Amino acid sequence: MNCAQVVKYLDAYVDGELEPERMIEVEAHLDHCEKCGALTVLRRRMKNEIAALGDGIVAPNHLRHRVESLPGTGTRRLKVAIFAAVPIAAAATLLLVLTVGPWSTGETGEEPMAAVVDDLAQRHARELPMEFKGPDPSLAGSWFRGKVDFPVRAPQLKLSNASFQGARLSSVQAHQAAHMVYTVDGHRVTLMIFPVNKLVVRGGDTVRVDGKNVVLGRRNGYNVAVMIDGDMAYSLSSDLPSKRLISLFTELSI
Amino acid sequence: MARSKKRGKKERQRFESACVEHLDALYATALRMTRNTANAEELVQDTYVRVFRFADSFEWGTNLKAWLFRILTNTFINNYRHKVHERRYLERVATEPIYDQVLDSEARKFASDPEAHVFSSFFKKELDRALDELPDDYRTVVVLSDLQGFSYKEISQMMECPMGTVMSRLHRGRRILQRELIDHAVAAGIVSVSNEEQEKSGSEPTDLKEFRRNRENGS
Repeated sequence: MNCAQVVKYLDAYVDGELEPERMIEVEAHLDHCEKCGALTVLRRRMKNEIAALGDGIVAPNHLRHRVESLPGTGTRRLKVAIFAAVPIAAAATLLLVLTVGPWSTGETGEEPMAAVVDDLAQRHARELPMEFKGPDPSLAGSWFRGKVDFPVRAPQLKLSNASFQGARLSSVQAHQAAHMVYTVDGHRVTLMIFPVNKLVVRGGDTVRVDGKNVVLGRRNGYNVAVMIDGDMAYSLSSDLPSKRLISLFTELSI
Repeated sequence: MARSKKRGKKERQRFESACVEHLDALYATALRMTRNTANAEELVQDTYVRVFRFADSFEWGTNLKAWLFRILTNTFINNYRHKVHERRYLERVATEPIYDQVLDSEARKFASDPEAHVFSSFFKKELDRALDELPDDYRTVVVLSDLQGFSYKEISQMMECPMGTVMSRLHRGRRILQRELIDHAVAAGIVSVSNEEQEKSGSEPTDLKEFRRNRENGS
């Protein structure tokens, strides 16, 4: 691929919409072309900054009240329902289909990281029942024992505005995954724990948290953060801002 | 299964609270779409009126957030979008390959700047402003893709247009943003963008300003 061709695919590349074969070609070019690399950084930066423009924007209270008291919806109850019934709504969760692979290399049989993020976000958007119900996360670890091939410790809550909704098993192509749902600041947050085996995970937007790599993605209207710790991956999916998700890794002591 | 006409009271409550959970995201997007708080509030309220009215058409197990944004986008396009000055702007957005080449070579230079202005607070402020100045159709696509992270397919469903249209609007929208960022950085004296890289130019304009002037003069 030459520069002009790469530029043509740059939008789809930055958006994670490029088919794997094409992505490999683009990245092969980016590996040796500094200028296209710089252009990619610019485009990514633009995308991330636009994403950040929405951070911290909260609907004004009077709008919330208006929405909650819309006629014919029974939403007058909602004010209570939001706090009382969200756990009920959130006691359902997502299935994860997952393959972990390098975002940027493309060896056979390995899905690009973008596809993983895509899957995680898509699954978060769906609601499935919990097999193990909250609110005590300390019992979840023993519930997973014997059900998955890796030890699971459900993060304890240090936050006053968070609660543990429950857990379930997820099977992820060839991988098993432990699947837990929390509510933080009134938002559903899904934590998935799964082995990455020997696959290397590196990708578009990576930040370091407590000396570990966290790959960030934003798909299907949700933020996804995947922390790689040795052989295991820990992912958080939510519509909370990505900065908040990153801080949750520390706050939930994941 | 969820298509049954009458949902139970409990399920209805669950649906409504799940919808209200997305209020902040809808509002943040509406704010970018309409560019003022009064219209954004009205748009969000209109959206929820329709959401609750059409509750029975939502199926559990599908993406609730995407469904809500589809209604938001639809309401925006039908009731709020400005149509008048769009054509004029569209004509200004040249799509000729030569224009893209000039722009790309400037952008490469801009992005390669060792002082990394791309990471300055200037960049963020300019991008914020430039986004607000984008024509509605472009801004809507950029906001749905970048602010909310929806896929091309989801956006095409929300806007009820082909995926190709989503992609070309994104492409052009981002080009306009990129151009605005560079123009402002150059005007503010933050970066200088010379044209040494346009080796291919020949009889083509080598200066972007000249190129635009020529366009305006119709030459």
